Amino acid sequence: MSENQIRDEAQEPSSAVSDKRPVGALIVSAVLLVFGVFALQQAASMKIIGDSMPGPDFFPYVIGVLLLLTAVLLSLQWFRSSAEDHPQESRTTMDWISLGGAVASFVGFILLLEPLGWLICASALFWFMSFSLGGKKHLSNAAIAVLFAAITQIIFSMGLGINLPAGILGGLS
Amino acid sequence: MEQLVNLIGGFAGALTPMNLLLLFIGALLGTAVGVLPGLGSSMAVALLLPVTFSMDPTGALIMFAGVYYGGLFGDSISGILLNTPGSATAIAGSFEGHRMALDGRAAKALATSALGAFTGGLLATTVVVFTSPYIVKLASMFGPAEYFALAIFAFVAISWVVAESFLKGIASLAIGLLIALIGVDSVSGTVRMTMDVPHLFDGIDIIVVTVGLLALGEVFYRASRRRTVNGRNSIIASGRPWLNRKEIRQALPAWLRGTAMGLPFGAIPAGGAEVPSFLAYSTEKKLAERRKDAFFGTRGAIQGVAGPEAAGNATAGSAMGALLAIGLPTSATAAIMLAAFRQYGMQPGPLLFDRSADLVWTLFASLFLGLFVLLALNLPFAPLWAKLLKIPTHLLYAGIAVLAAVGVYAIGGSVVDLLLLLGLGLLGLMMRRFDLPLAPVLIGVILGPMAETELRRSVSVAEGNLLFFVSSPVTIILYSVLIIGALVLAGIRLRNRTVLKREIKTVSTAAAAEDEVSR
Repeated sequence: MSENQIRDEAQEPSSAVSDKRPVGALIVSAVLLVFGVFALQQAASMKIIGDSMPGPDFFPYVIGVLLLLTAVLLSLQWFRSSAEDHPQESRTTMDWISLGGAVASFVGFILLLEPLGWLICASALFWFMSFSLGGKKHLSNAAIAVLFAAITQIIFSMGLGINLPAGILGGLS
Repeated sequence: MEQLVNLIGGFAGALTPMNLLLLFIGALLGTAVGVLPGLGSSMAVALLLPVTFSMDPTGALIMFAGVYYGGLFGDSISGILLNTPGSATAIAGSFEGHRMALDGRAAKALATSALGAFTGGLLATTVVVFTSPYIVKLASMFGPAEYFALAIFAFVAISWVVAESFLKGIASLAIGLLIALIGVDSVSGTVRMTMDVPHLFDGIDIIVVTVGLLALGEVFYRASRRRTVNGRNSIIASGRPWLNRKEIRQALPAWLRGTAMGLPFGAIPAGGAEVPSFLAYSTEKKLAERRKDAFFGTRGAIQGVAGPEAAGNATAGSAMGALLAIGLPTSATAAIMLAAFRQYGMQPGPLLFDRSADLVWTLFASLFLGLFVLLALNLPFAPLWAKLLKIPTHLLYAGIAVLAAVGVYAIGGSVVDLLLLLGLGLLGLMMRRFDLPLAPVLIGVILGPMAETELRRSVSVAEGNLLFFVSSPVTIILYSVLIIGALVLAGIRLRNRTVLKREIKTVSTAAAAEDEVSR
């Protein structure tokens, strides 16, 4: 870690912990609810083959009910909790910009992988990811990114015989 | 003495230059990933799984053995130097370890931890080797009802032990079971939960699930708290790593006590080594109070590192026995290794010892060899490993993101897998932030299909008689151990939680005071 970065980090707030109940924790219940409804809906609309008892839809029903049950109980628990009942991690302020950058670089990678090829996309993923996570030395990071992408390409396609998309660079080699 | 002959045969199989090289690489990679802050041995195994696709099973499993133990050694290094243990198992050891490091005895703490891990692992593996034929004999009496009981046992145990709250553990487990349902049902051939996406007919690959939840989830989690939470600067390992005779005399009984505590916990599927390592820590603390040890809790006592570290690795060793002999994964890492076995068309359990005896004994032999390799890598070079802690976070996690992507793309060359990876990464972020444990998801994905198949089989055998599920001694024992174990563990957890809270408070105050002084 360079001198620059150490100073940089020292200036940043040490930690921002809210003393309120994390409203976001209800997302967990919401996700479980969606999963549960999905399981039940899929179980009900299943085209069942054979007539065994219990059939292939039995487990989906059980798990769907289990998911709904945990969703309800977890939200009840949330409403009865105080801020201290929640661990500090879930009360820390979210860094939406950094997270957004990280997720966006991965989405971009998925969309462009097959048209552009592994070398370009993996280098870009590395660089954008390190940028979103606070990398400052953009030029040397770019060099590391290309090197890293090239090494993975060599190990996986030459060493292990797995085809990674060549993309637009494919015509050159 | 048949085991001894088998084991010697195993050594003959393991001691080829290629296998030794793989073991060495595995140990190196495992330690490296374990040392890196925030990454544990399960992440090392998850990222390595795709790489071993094109290897022969023996070589791949030998490499896993190296990674498995290497990760455990590495977890403790970052715990001692940075107070950021890579896994729950390393937490108990880093209390006294970090205090010793703050006191300028970092190298000694690392040596104590490495030797403790070695002792625990060695004794546990020996016990596993000599008891495995009996476990196998027991497991060969298992029918559908017993396997179903075993799966239920694993589900409840893992949700109960790993999670802060039982409810959150069950929620994680249910998510895992749901993921396992996707694809064509193996009993009837019915297509389930695929929403007519042809790619999903084979189900979601376990590699996508592990890499998504463990690796990409961690990258997103780091990003989500980059500017709101500060990392602490590392302590440079200082002092000589060698222990003198007096220190060995202090540490040896603690290593043995820790091993004795860790061993039984790996053999019963109680999920992870968190409980035994805390148990060892509390024991050492009590003993220190009795002999009025002034170092314990202030400058750091050697016994406080030795006990928990030995306990952690002893559990890891006997967990390996449980995985091989019964086919029951007791932690996230073991679950991923089970997936690796299945990749090669092998099902751990009694039949494995019959059908692939060579492989099993080679694997046992390489577990022993792995421990020696790791001791050689860790005892003299611990300060060098600590240099890995200087890799800037942004480069580290960018690298992990690229490795996650290449690993998942390598499975089937499909963008659908990458989309699933992204979704699971976001799920992993949510679970980390709101304290949902990850291990139950993996256990659910891996044991879910077995539980379902055995349940349906039992019902058709029983012809509607529900008592069939508790009709054999094995099932009765399993269900009653579950109930008794639940009660005992609830008690231990309650005590550990208070210990944990108090310790975190005192260690962080000590560290803060140290920071003040160094400025």
